[in-house]
Formats: sequence, C-alpha cells, structure tokens
Amino acid sequence: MAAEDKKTRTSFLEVSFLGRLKTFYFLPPKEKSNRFLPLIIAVMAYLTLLGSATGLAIFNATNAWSTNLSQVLTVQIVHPEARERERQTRAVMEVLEDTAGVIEARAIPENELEALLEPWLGVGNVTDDLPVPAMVSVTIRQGSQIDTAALNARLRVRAPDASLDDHQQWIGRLTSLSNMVQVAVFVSIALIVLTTVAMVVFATKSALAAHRETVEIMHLIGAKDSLIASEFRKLFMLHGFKGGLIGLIAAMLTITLILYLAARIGGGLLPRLYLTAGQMTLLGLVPFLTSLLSMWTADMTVRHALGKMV
Amino acid sequence: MIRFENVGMRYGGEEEILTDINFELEAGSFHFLTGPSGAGKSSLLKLLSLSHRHSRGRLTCFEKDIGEAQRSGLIKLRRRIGIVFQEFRLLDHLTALENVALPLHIMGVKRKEVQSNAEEILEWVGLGHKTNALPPTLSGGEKQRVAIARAVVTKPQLLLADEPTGNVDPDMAERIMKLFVELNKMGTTLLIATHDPQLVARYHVPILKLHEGRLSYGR
Repeated sequence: MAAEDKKTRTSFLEVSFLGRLKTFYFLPPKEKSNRFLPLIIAVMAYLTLLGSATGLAIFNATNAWSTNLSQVLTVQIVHPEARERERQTRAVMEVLEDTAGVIEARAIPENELEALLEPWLGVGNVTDDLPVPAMVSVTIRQGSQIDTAALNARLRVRAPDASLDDHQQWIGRLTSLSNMVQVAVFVSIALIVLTTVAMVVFATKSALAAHRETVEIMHLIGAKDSLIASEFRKLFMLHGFKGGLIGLIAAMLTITLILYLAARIGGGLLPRLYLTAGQMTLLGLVPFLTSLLSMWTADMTVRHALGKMV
Repeated sequence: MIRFENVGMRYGGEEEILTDINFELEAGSFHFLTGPSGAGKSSLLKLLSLSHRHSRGRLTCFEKDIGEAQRSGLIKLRRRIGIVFQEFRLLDHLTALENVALPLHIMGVKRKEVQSNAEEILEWVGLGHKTNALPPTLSGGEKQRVAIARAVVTKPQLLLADEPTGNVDPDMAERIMKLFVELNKMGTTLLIATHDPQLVARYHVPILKLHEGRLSYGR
C-alpha cells in the first residue's frame, strides 16, 4: 500500500463508525463524483451575494435620500435682475417664517450655489452675467402636513418669480427605480437558487449512480431511507458550505472594492452606497444557507430515488 | 415461514419470468434451488430477498402478505433475511470487520456490541486475523466468508445464498458448506441456489427445481 493510501485509510478509520467519533460513513472517504460542485455553488453564492448587496445598497441609498428630501422643500426664484431676486428672496423668507411646520428657512449663499454648479460647469466658470437662480432651502418638521400648493400660491403673491419644489416627482422616480432594482434582484436571486437546486439534483443523481452498488446493498440489508439519505445529506451539506464560504469571501472582497470605488468616484454627485452591519451579517449567513439548501435538495433527491426501489 | 401461492413475476411489460410458483419454506428447513441459467433462480431469490415484488399470486413472508405490505414494512422484514450474493458485493473501502458490522449498525445495535459481535462472527468463519483487511486484498474464499459473516451476523431467520461455492475451490466450497450446515442446525432456514449437481448430491435435502420459470420438487 502506498504511503498516501495508508494516510487516507488511517484518517478514514479515525472517523469510521467503529472509531471514536459517532459519524458513520458508508460512502468512500474520498468521494470524487462531485468534486466540482463546491466551485459551482461558490459561483452561485457569489452572484447571489453581489445581487443582494447591490439591491440592499441601492435600497439604503434611495431610502436615505428620499427620507432627507421629504423633509426639505426648495424655493427657487428665477429672475435676471440680481436686485429683484434679492427682494423676492426676502419676501419668501418672511412668508416661510409665518408658515406652521417650517423649522428653518435658509437662503443659500451665492458661493454655495456656485459650489453646487461646479461639478457641471467647472471651477470659476460661474460669472456675474450668468443669472443663477436664488434658492431657499426649507426644513420642515417630520410628519408635518404642509399644503405645498397653498404655500406656493402664498409665495407667488409676494414673490411672483418664486416656485416651490417639494421633490415629490424626484422621490417618486427614486422609489420606482429602487422598487425596480429590488424586483430585478429578487428575480435574479430566485433564478440562481433554482439553478443551484437543479445542479445539486443532478449532482446527487450522479453520486447515486456512482454509488449505486453501495446504496443497493445498504437497501437490501435493511437500511432505512433516512439512513442512506443521511450519508448524502452530510456530503452535500459540506459541498454547500464549502461553496458558500468561497463565494462569500470572493463576494465580500468585490463588494468592499465596489463600495470603496463608488465612494471615491461618486463624490457629491451620487448618493453614498453602504451596507448596514445587520445586512452584512445577513449576507454572512450565505454559507449556512447554501449548505442547508444543498443538504435539503440532496435529501429530497435521494429519498425520491430510493422511493422507486421496492 | 415463507409461502408462495401461484406466484408470477415479470419485469415491466415483459413475459412472466416466473409462472405459478408454489412452495413453502418451513422454519429451520434447508433447501437447494437448482436450475439451468436463465431458469429464473435469480428472480426467485429477488422475490425471497424482498428486493422485487411479485406481479400476481400470493407471497407470504414471516406471516406478512407481501402484496399488501407497505414499503416501510418490507424494510423491517429484510432485516430478518440474510443474503450471500454470488459476487460477494462487499464494500471495498470498508474493512472486513466494518463490512460485517454494517447490518448491525443499520439495526442500531450499540457500538461496543457491534464490534464484539462482528469480531466473533469473523472468528467463526476463520477470518479472525483478517479483521482490518480490505476486500480487494482478500482471496475469493475469504471474500465469500466475509459475505457469509455479514449475512449471518444479525442471526437472520432466513438465509439465502446465491451460488455460494461458485467462485471458490473445492476445499473452500466444502468449508463454506459446513458453515451453512452448522447455521441450519442452529435453526436458520436455509435456501442455497446452485447449479452444481455434485454439491446437491452430497447433501440429502429437498431440492426446488426451476425450469423455464416453473418450479418442481426434487429428491
């Protein structure tokens, strides 16, 4: 017997049912019929994790953005004359001070407005002859029901060139986008899970075919289906966990890189993409979920196949 | 203990491979099952080992009507039957001891008892020194004795052996037959399928003769 075989044999004896541990294996210790399955599961877990992380990050970002926007109103005064813009801005401020539910009304200084335009126009390109509208940022109390149409009408009386933007159109679009992304992510994950289940079914059938003789002998000497299935459960649980763990490590590296690059590239233009600690923990459960899914699928497949035997 | 009444068997939609089989095996009896190749010996053994169902007639095994029995019920009945396969069908990655211990483990016997019982049976078949040997390293006769040990380790009420001496030399065949006779004396019902006329001639026990799927009695 070669040294390597001896080593394999010894390690198997240590966990055989006559050994110290309570584990019982009737399949060969070096089961090779499905050695690529963990890698396939790893790819599936990786795709699932990337999809989930993308969905969650977009949900977080849009949720934070729409929450912020729903508490902020913006009044824009568009007039070519700077003096008239200032007059109307003061009038707007007076109306807002008398409006219930308004916590703060702040006329945005010109330098801040220029800074906001810099990503589009470049530094130093906002000249005096460019009629930049005056802006008033209004912070309202959370939950206060301000009638924006009525407020807009009141503002128009005192400042005819003022218009109130409650960002509802923008929030609506963001919510729609977020919902669409979530549905797409959900459908993708469902398809990945179904594909994984199908692959585990094929892999289990292949393992059953490879060990048909052993399974038949076990069946003939009176082994219950549950005992035979337990061996395959253990095997596929391990495959699922290995695959899930590899997928998790690869996905976490990718997600970290994407979030880092998004934070760098996005600057002030894009909302911050992030995952909460709870969400990260949830994603960390994927190896356990893949092992459970793999185990359950193998169990069902084996029991179904055994059910066809007398 | 075992009763066949007008039993027929077919595979799928094919012609009957066994037709109108009638016989009874009483507890503690010893029978040979003979017949030329293709006569249906293996099929009859499949019915007796409960690995296949009959297609008509009535088959009673340990007072249970097999036609009516649930699948889970058959699993329990199988534990009362020992089978020695013609090709041994040992698990090559398990040692002789582990192979013999397999049925005990399946039955949920305690670990210590599993080991001592399996060792004792291996000793009885003369392989006490081969407990850790893997089947591929054993001779044909040794494999056959491990297979017999595995079949009898649970003290089955019925022992079926398919050509148990077919792959061994005459001396080993004699030794194996002595083991079977000894088991039968201890109360095990025995049915040995063989097409070796010399073997059948040496033992004065009833013969079930199969020819083209039909059974007749001999001796």
